[in-house]
Amino acid sequence: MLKNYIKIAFRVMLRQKFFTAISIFGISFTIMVFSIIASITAITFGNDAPNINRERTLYYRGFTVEGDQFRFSAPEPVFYDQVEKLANVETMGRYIAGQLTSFKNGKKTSIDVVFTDEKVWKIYKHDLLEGRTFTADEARGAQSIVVITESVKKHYFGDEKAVGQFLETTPRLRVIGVIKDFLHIGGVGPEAAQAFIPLNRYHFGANKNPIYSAIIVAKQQSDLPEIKQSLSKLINERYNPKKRNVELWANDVYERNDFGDYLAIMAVFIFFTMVIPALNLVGINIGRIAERRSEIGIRKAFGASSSVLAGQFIAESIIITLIGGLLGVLLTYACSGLVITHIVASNDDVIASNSVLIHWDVIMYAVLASLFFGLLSGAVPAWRMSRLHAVKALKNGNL
Amino acid sequence: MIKLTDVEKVYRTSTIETMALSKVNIVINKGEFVSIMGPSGCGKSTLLNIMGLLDEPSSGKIEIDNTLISGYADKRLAHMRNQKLGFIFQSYHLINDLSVVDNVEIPLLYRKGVSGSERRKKALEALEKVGLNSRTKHYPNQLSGGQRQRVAIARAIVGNPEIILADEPTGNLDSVMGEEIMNIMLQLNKTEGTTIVMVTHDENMANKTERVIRFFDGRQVN
Ligand SMILES: Nc1ncnc2c1ncn2[C@@H]1O[C@H](COP(=O)(O)OP(=O)(O)O)[C@@H](O)[C@H]1O
Ligand SMILES: [Mg+2]
Repeated sequence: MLKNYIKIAFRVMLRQKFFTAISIFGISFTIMVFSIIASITAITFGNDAPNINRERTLYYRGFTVEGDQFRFSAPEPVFYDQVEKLANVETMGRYIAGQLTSFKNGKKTSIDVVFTDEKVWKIYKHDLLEGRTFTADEARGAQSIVVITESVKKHYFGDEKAVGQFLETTPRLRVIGVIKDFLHIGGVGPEAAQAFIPLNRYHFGANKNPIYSAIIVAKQQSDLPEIKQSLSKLINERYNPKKRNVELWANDVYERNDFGDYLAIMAVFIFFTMVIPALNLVGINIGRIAERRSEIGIRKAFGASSSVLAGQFIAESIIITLIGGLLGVLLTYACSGLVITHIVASNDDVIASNSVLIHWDVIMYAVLASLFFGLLSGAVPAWRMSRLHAVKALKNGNL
Repeated sequence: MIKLTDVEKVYRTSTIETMALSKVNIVINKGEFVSIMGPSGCGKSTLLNIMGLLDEPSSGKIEIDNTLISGYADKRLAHMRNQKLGFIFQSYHLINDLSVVDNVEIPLLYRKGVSGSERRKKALEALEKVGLNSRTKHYPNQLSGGQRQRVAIARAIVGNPEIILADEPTGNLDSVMGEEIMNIMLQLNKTEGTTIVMVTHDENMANKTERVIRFFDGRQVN
């Protein structure tokens, strides 16, 4: 019986090549688009590792006071000490983002680095592949050590052990640990870094008076507005005696990534990807009902009951949907690589990220959803068609 | 074999009521080859559909094999058709997406406990009986009308039904091909003892059968 279902499903698919193609393409394309959108959303806004605290994190970079000679001011370290002690602040990390250039075999490579303190290992959750991360003392002590990502390690040291070796940058940095690559879209400081260096190491560079930024993790997401108010208050007390307007450069993840714009773009995208399968379903169902009346009549005349027929048509739509679903997974797999190199991995052109943009759970849900809709779109017409009266079916469907 | 008692069929549409059959009483005996004749629209197909359990009468009784068919659910009717009946239609009604042999296998698909290989074997045997064993892998649209009707006969006999109902089986064929089809059916009736009820417009064909039932305007006239 099943073999027969598969046989006729394929014949029907071949006969309605155009609609079959659109149908399968529609399903697989929809799965791909949704999987990739879901992954991008998770990478940009989600709390997946390493960004386990993202939703309650504020990135603070300074402020501008209206009419000031210097547009942008970053406060002194003592200001940050005050921020850190605010009641609803759980942790605060400090960082300075930068780039380091090195030469390997005469080829120039630049990597995104961040000078930061030990809090970064608490705020973000990284998988340690080799060695260790640095401690509070080491961060304060300005040691020339570095924790690198696995693709940086591959680039400089290949398959060798990296811990104990040196990055030939200025200054020369001893590798103490290797962490797993992680995906990011845009992102600042630790969110996008390929190498992590103790904060005070920065003082030994050209800039003697560094401006650093803060990663403020609130105890709860709902504390964020209050923390912003506290920041404004501290700034007004310390830096704004003339009571002019102050613009705070402190944003949560949604502000930093323009969530509204993002949603609008995705909505348009989803709309267009849904139009294809929707159109095609209509076409297929009309085609099926018109072309398969006589088949229904014939099968009924020779002993098929309505329920057996409904089963046949449902089996057919499951087969088509499953083919689309499998193709969708393959398509997602193939396209996520492109997405990674063109959107996600913005680090640089030499060291590409090895991570994969595939969230298997997302794909599984997408396949389940497509199966569900395939069943739904198959079951409704199947149920209606199977109830067609045999005599009527035979009369209208002259072969 | 088939007994109709006071069978009536009324088609109701929003505007008119058509009395397709009125007070029909017919007995078809086991092993008989009966033809049904009458002008177009007199209710011949309606009668055959009711005998074939494809349609329900508005009133009256149908017995098949001494069993009163009344209040049967869809599943049970389907089972009955599958076990006892075989149909042949004027316009062949083959499934174009299936090969000749797959078409012939259809009735066996809906029979429990018939394996794939058994199905294939029986379908090929049926095709041999109608002289089409060289065309089993073809598709219906690669065959002539006469060949298609032979496939349809093979499909009708593959499950060894006791009754074959044929609605103008030669209606779309030229006289030579029609003759061939008629001979196959006569042979079937003679050697296998299959009961056959055939609707026809052709006096020559009707004369070859044992009994002719004539219809006019929904009534039996002889
Ligand atoms: N589904 C239907 N609805 C309404 N009238 C029908 C239907 N089927 C058949 N009829 C009418 O019933 C009568 C008998 O039809 P039919 O049995 O097909 O005649 P025949 O096969 O003798 O040409 C005709 O008048 C036909 O128009
Ligand atoms: Mg007719």
